[in-house]
Parts: sequence; structure tokens; C-alpha cells
Amino acid sequence: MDPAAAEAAGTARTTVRAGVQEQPSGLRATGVVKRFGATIALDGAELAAARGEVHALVGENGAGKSTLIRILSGVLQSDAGSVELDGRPIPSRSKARTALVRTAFQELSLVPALSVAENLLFDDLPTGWHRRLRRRELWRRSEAVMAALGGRYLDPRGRVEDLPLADRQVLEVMKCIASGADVLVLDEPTSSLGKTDADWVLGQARRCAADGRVVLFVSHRLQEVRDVVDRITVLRNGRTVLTCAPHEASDDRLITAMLGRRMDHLYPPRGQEPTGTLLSVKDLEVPGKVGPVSFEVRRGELLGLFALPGQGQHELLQALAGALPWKGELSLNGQPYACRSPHRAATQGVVLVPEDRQRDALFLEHSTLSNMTVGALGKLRGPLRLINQGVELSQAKQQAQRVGLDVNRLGDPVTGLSGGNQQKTVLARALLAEPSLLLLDDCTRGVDVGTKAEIFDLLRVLCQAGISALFHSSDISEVVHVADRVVVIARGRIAGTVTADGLSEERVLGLALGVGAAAS
Amino acid sequence: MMSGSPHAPEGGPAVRRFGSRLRGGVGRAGPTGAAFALAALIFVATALYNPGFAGLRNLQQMSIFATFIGLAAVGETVVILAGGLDLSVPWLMTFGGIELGKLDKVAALPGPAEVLILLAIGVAIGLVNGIGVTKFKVPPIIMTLAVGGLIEGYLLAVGTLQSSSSSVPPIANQVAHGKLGPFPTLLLLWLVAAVVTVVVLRRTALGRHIYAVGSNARAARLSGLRVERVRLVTYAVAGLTSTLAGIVLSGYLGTSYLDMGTPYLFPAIAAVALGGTAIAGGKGSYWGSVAGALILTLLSAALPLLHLGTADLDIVYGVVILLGVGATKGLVGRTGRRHPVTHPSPGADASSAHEPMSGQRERSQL
Amino acid sequence: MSSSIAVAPPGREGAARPLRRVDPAGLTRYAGLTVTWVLLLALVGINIALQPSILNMTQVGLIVQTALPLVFACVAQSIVLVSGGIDLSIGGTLVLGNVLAATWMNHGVAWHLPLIVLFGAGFGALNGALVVFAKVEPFIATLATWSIYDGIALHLLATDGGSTPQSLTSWITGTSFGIPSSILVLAVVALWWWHFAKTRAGRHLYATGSDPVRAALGGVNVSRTRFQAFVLSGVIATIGGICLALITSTGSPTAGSGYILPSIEGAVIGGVTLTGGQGGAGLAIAGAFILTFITSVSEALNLAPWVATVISAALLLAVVAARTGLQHREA
Repeated sequence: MDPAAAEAAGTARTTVRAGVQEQPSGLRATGVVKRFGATIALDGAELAAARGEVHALVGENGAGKSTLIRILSGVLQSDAGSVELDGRPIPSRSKARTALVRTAFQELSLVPALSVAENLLFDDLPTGWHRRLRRRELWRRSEAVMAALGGRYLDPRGRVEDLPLADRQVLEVMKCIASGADVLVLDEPTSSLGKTDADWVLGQARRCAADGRVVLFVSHRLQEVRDVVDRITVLRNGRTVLTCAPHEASDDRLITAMLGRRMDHLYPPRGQEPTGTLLSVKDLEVPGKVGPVSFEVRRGELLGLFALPGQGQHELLQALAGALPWKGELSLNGQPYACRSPHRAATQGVVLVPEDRQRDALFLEHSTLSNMTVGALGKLRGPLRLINQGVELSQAKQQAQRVGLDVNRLGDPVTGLSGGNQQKTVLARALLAEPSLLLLDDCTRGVDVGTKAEIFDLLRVLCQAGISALFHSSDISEVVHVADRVVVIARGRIAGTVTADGLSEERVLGLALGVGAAAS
Repeated sequence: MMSGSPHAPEGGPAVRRFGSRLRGGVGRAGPTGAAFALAALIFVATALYNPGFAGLRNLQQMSIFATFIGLAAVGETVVILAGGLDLSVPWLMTFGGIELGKLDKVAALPGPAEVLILLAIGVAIGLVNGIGVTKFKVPPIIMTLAVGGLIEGYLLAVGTLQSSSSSVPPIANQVAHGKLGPFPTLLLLWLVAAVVTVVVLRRTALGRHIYAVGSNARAARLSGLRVERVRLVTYAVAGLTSTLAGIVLSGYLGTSYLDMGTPYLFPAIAAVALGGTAIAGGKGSYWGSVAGALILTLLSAALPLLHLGTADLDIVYGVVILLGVGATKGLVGRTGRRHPVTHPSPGADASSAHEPMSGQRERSQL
Repeated sequence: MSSSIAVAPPGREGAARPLRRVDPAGLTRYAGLTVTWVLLLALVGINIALQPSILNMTQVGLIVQTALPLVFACVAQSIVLVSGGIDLSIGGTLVLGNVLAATWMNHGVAWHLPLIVLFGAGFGALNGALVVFAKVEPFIATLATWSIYDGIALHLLATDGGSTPQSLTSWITGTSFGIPSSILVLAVVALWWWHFAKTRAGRHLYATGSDPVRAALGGVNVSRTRFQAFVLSGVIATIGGICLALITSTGSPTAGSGYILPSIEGAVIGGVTLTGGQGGAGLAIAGAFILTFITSVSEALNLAPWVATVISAALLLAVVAARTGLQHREA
């Protein structure tokens, strides 16, 4: 498809999977430094990936992965260090660099208002002498690209804004591969994908490597990384701490490298048997998305919720939080539970921790403190209905300690916090509302392993204190290991419920895929 | 064991001024201070050039003119902080002025009662704005523009049906021309309004909710805030203060006429912008708008002394707004608005998974 | 969700696929835009019913001529709106074009006309520079330049006056090739947009307006695109001002304020959104004509001026509320 890449492939094939230390060809970043004001995001990061290699880049959140990717793709300029391809420095100007290095961004670079074809061929839109787009050629070429990649077929004329998230992620990967760049960076390319599509992406990564391109693969899913890559580079605090082949790296070794310390445990032990019903859901329907579904959440229970992407799980949680209109019968503590708005839900003790914290949870201009207390201000009022700032601060500190946030940094703007600490801020806000039921929508996404463990511990403590939680995660092993019971959703309905004694990833995934037998 | 990695890189310079940030919570001292400094600079410079500028009479005059802008800016500030915009201010002012005179002629109630009735009508019109924006999802620019058009239509209609007198009831006159010691009553009225506004914004749940709604309406809703109600209230406040500004303006002028509010559309918004309040909402304070109103008033009083005309005033207004906003940006620096492409915050970017801009997009729906 | 989908056991292929929506957004988009054309046709119909005499070339030309400055203002506004900004200085650039035309053009059209247009590009470039390079919010930046441009216009021409070359005035109010020139001018604008929207630059404009971050990640030079949008807006608004001067054969330093809010009104009534990336100049032209026809209908009916004011305000609300209602029902 791309002559340069094909030519390079000839020379590169000899080094495929060689895994030698000195690569004659390939991508090499040395001593990359990047500062943002006082903070150092990258502090001499090193990366060497040969042509023909799928190279994983892993690290905790805030380790500098995203910054390195942005520098490699020319979105950011590094303060020091060099990036070379085949021994020649790559120009740092974004335009010249995107020709050589192409990134499938996690946050997607697609333009919603344009068509699938226009997005796919965005770099090289075919225009005629009249400088208008040649639409037929555009459609024909994009169909050819999709056929060649063997991914999912998307109508080239459809607008991207009308596509579901998984389709958009597939398109993003297709766009990246179709660009013909020598270096492909796939940033969490499977985070929203189900198994079939994820396998397709992994297969494409291997195929591109076999063509002699460099594939840089960033993922939080260690298993996936292990299956597909030739070598792994671990970043910590802006430095490269480990580069090795997957068979040399046990999960333990990787996690230790990422954290700089050993994880004693990721998942806390399960607690005592929950008693009594807190929330009972009967024939809940969200038109076009969910249902009807019926289930119940017990008092003090950590109920897991698992589904493949786009099966209505977010809508279910949002409906329970009053953010979406629904039909059905809900009762909370034996009383009818009328949640027609998130406000009504919160006053009855049901609080949602949304999936996308920057979009749905945070007030980026405001301090961590304001972000925490914004939902509970009504309870912090003193004389003249003015907010008692002393009480506000002490309550916030109390919750900050509970979730494990530095109480001395509550005054900092929330934008300055790492993803994990932002999530803790949102959790602290939820706790300030004194909930009886927490709805956690993928609250560990984009959160580092250390914070995950803290969040799981916290959830367990909360449940022991009698608070219930409906915990949805897109990471199946989290759901299986953390929850007391798991409800599996497929196509908007309950595909099955698995209790603690029968819990296994295979069982849950089987139900989600519709191949497992229904279990109680 | 917070912050699993203590050296985790974070976006922007780490700000550690704990106390000041914590107190204000959401307000910033920077831009407001800059705006007041600019006002002081203009005042001192002009006073040095022409000492009469600092004379008591002139000060009283200017404080009265600033009050009209300042009162109109109360509503505008509150609406903008909540992520909206109110273009109906000038028409509400005109409405307040004309209708007070008419009400006085028709009903002959006690003065305060007439004023209260009018203010209630002002609130009702503000609520119409708010309902259009919240319930019918009409963009604020369009909604308030249309309501302004409807008010103008009404005033035109009534004006043509009955020859409107330009009389102004005594109460408006007394308030507008009264003095308490050396202080004009209007200035005191403004001061009270300003203190109330600032306290409400900073220290009440409603005020803090206004900031939250302006910052991220989606997040505010999901955190259990009643976003629509908050927005409704802001437009009601704007209806109230704009009408009040119109009433006292007519009292000061001793007459009322169609278009009397029109010159205030620009200053009301400009004062807010000069004060460093983000036009997209969620950030700023009313003190900033106070400083903005002072700057605009000082300029319009100072330029004639320098033998400059209205054309120059227009130009100076524009330049000062640009300078003022530029100064604000310089002070607030890069901790201000986030531009993910140019200054990404690496600690935060992984979570902004799919809709990197939607928060801002929501807000930019003027 | 239909029950048949839910009952069918998801196969291996299907399981990974999320539930598919049947493009509801696409349909409602079109439904929203239909409102524009229905409204425009209805107004044309009413106009014709009231004054059957307007159905000849000269009369149509006159209507277009009346609408022309507003059309330019709305087109200029819509380009910036599509790019995700807003341009309040349109009144200022328009009035500068108007005043410059009325003061300069008598000294020689041949090189003053392009010079004025170049100045317009400069005004737009200043807006663009403030927004793109100084990172001032478009609303504030153009609020300020509106004031500045108005002030400059007042300096150039303190009161209504000046004059335009007779030849040009009679050209624009007359006919060429047997067609009223105003219609030709309109056609040129419409054709230009039809072409521009589908060029690479046009696609980049939409990409930027719909989401600047994504556009940048996709390789669009967002800064340049936004800058371009303001320059185009400046040029087009200035041409609108020149047209206004030619049609009235005089200049007015205060004519501009009558175009700022209507330019937004017209663009929005036509179907351009204030959030960027949606709509286009074609719709803005339709919007400009809707506003013009409302005035002409109420004039034809001999209605009091307040009726036209109320009708256009109410119509604006109704159209926008109906359109957003259609879109929010699905969302």
C-alpha cells in the first residue's frame, strides 16, 4: 500500500523478532525531557523499537506515556533529547513528523461532523483541478482500504458522529494504519472494543510489524500486551526503568517496575455476607438501550456489573442515577425510588460516579476542595444560610483522608491532579453526599494500578460500613475479583448473574458473549 | 498513601498557595486586582493632568454613571458565570424606565409599591429568558435577543397606542438625585447590591452552584445540582437588576424614552469581561465587574478632558478591553483555560478518553 | 429496543458488536434544516400572494438588492460560526467597508476597490490574530474590535455622507446580461460557498469547528483555519459594506450596528449552530432572506413597525426551539 514501507520491509524482515540490543533500523528516542512549568513529565526517557517489532509501552498513569506519545507524534515539542528513525533524526515539526509517525489516539482524532471516508483519508483527501473533493473516488478508496484491512465495514458516507464508540475506535486504528507511516503508535487501541475487534487490532499490529513498520503499543491490559508484543518498555516517573521481552517479564515483575515497589495485593478479600435488600429493580427499561431488567442490590453488597462495550451498561447506571428517563418499578429501602433527576436520586442517597470524569464529573477551573464539596453545600450552611467554610474544609479533609488524598493539597486546582487523584476527588464528592448506594461507572478506567488497589480497598471498607455499591468495570478481572456477585449485561438485558462461589473470568465472559449457560 | 507516585507529572505549574485558593474556592484575586489597578491608573493620570477631575462633584457624577453600568452588570455577571449570556439588558432597562412613568400615571400607587411591581415584572421577564434557555434549549444569545425584540415590540406598540408621557415619578427622582452626606444614594445602592452579590456568589450554595454550572453543566447535573433552576435564577437576577438600573436611570435623566437602555448593552458585557470573568462561565467575580464599570466610566469622563470625541472613546474602549483581557491572561497565565493540544496536562489526559472537548463545547453554547 | 434482537442469542460475531442506532441524528439533522426551507418558501408564497406584481425580474432584483448587505453579513457570520467562533465585529467591518467606499471610491475604482477589500482582510486578520495568537475568546476579542472599527469609521466619516461612483451604483441597481446585477452578486457568493465548502480548506473549517482538538490530532492546522475564517469574514463583511454604500450611493458610519445581531439571527434562523461545525453559508443566505421577507411582508400588509419586530423575534424563537426540540428528542 505504501511503497516506502514496502521497500523498508525488505531490509527489516531480517531483524524481525530478533530482539537484539543494537538495532540498525527502527525508532530510537534518547534522553527525552519535557517539563510543564515546574513539573517534569519526562526526565530522560529512552525508547528503542526496531522495525518489524511490536513494542509495548507501559507504565502507571502519570508515568509519562501520554507525553512521550505526544512528543513522538509531534503534538508536543520535547525540551531536550532526540527522536531518530533509522539513525536519522525525525523533524519535530508536527506536519513532517506525522508523515513518519502516526498515532491512533485514545481520545480519537476523528472529526464527528465529517463522513467516515473523509476521516479515513483525511490527510490525503482526493481533490480535482477544481479543488473540490472527488466524492466517488473518496468512497471507492476508503472502501478499498477497509477491505484491505479486513476490519469492520463502515458505510463511507455515514457521519462519524452517528457511529457507536467501538466503531469509531476501529476507524481510528484503520486511519492510523492506512496512513502508511513507518512508525505506528497505538494508544490504548482496544479500550472500548469487544473481543472480536480487539483481536483484529492485535492482528493488524502484528501484520504492520511484519511489513517492516515499527508498532508502538500502549495498553493497560497486561495480558493483551504479553500476547502480542515482542518487547516491553516500562516507564516510571518520566524515566525508562525496564526494557525486556514478554517471556522475561512476569506480571509481578512488570507491576513492580511500574510501581517501583511490590504490590502486596490488588484486590481486597471479600467481606461478610450482605443482608437484606437495598435497591430492588423490576422491569427497568431505558427506551432503545436497556431492558427490561430486574435485579436487586443488597445492603452492604458490592455488586459487580459486567458487559462488553455498548451493551447498555452506562445507560442502566445513568437511569438508576436519574440522569436518563426510564420505565419500570424501583424501590429503595422498601420505599418507591423515584429518581427523575440526579438531584432527586442524590437526596435519596444514590450517587453516580460517572464514566468519563473530565467530561461528566470535574469542574476543571475550580479547586479540589470546591470539586469535592459542590454537591453537599446544602448541608454545610450556617447562619443566614451562608456556607460555613470551616465546616466545609474539615468535612472535605475527612473525606480526603478516607479516599487517600493529600489533605494539604485540597486548595490546588483539580487540573493539576493525576488521573487517579482526580478520580479520588470525585469519589470523595460522592461520599460527602452520604450515599446508601454508589453507582460506579468504570471508575478505574485510566487509573494507575496503585490507585486501583486503594479504590478497591475503600469500596470494601464502605460496604462493610453498610453502603452498597454497583460496580461496573470494563476490566473483567476487576469485576470478578472485587465484586460479591456479578450481573452480566448483554444487549441491554441481563445475560446472567454469577455468585461468589462460581465467579470466574471465563464464566462471566462466556455469559457476556452469549456462549455460557445462564447461571443463578 | 495518596498519590501513588509522588513525582507524578501534572499539568501546569503546581500551585501551592493553599490559603488564598482555598478561601475563594473558585474566585481568583489576580484579574480583579489588575482591573482595579487599571481603574486607579486612569484616575490618577487624568487627575494629574486635570486636578478638577478629582473634585467632589465630578467624583459624585462619575459614581452615578458607574452605578448604571454596575447595576446592569450584576445580572450580566451572574448569568455569564453560570455559562449563559443576557442580551436583553438594554431593553429591560428601557422597559423599567418607561413603564415606571406609565404605572405612576395609571395606578398612582405609593412609589415603593410601583417600583416593587416593576421589579417583579422584570424578574418575570428574566424567567422567560431562563425558561427558553433551560426548557426549550434555545441558545442564550438567541433567546435573550428575541425577548429583547419582544419587549421592544411591546414598547413600540404601547407607545403608538397612547402618547406616552416622559414623566418620572418622584421616588425614582429622589433616589437618583439624593445624597447621604457626600455620597450619592445611587452609589450606596450599588455598594449594597455589590456586597450582596459577592456574598451570595461566594458564600451561599446557590452562588457556588452558579460557578459549578458555568464550569461544567453536565458534571453539575450528575453531581445532583439542579442545573435548570440555577440558570433560571441567574436570568431572574438579570431581569431584576436590569429593570432596577432602568428605573434609576430614568430617575436620573428625569425622562424616559425608547432606546434609553441601548447604550448599555456594550458596557454591561464589557465591564464583565474587563473584570476577568471568563465569558464561557465558571470563573470570575463581581468585584471584577465593579472594576470594569469604573474603568469604562472613568474613560468616558476622562477622554473629553483630553479633547477626544466619541469616535476616540469607541476606539479606546476597544483597546482597553483588549489590554485588560490581555493583562488578565498574563496574570492568570497558563493555569487558565486548558488547551489540550498546546498545553496538555499529562496527568489528566488519560481520563479524557473520548470527548476531549465536550466540556468546553457545552459551555461555548452561548 | 425490539424484543427480537434481545431474544436472539448473540452469535460470536454479533456479541462484540454494540447495539446499532439507525442514524437518528442524521435524520433529525435534516428535519431541522427542512424547517428553514419550509419557512423560506412559506414567506415567499405569502409575499407573492400579497403582491403578485413582484413576480418579475426587476422586482426580484430589488428584493435581492435590499437583502444583499444582510446576506453578506450573515454569510460572514456563518463562516466564523462554523469554525467554532463568533464575530461581533461584523458591524464594524461592514461599516468600515461602507465608509471607505463612500469616501475613497470616487478617487478611482480600479485600485481603491481591491484596496478596500484588502483592508477588510486586514480587519479580519486582526480579529483572527487576537483569537488565534493572543488567545482572547472570540466573543471578547470581536466585541473590542467592533468598538474599535466603529470608532475608526466615525473618524473617517463623522455623519452620513460621502458618495460612490455613479457607474458602480447604476451597475448594482441595474442589470447585466439581462439579469439584475444584485442577483448575479448573490449567485457569485452562493457559488463560492458551494465550491469552498467541499474543498480541503472547507472540510478543515468544519473539522475545526466541530472539535478543534480532534481536528488538530487529525492533522488540521487549527490555528490557520480559525485565522482564515476570521479573514474571510472580514472580507465578506467589507464587501457587504461596499454593496450597501453602492446601493444607497452614500456612506453611513452608524449603519453597522444594525447588522451585528441580525447577522447572528439570520445565520441561526437558517440553521447554523452556535457551537460550530454545523450549517453553512447557504443556510445563512436562506436565513438572511427569511429576515428580509418578514419585513417586506409586514410592510406589504401595512403593519405597524412593532408587529414586524414582534413577529421576527417570535419566529426566531419558534424556529430555534422547534429545531432544538427535534434534535434533543433523540439525544
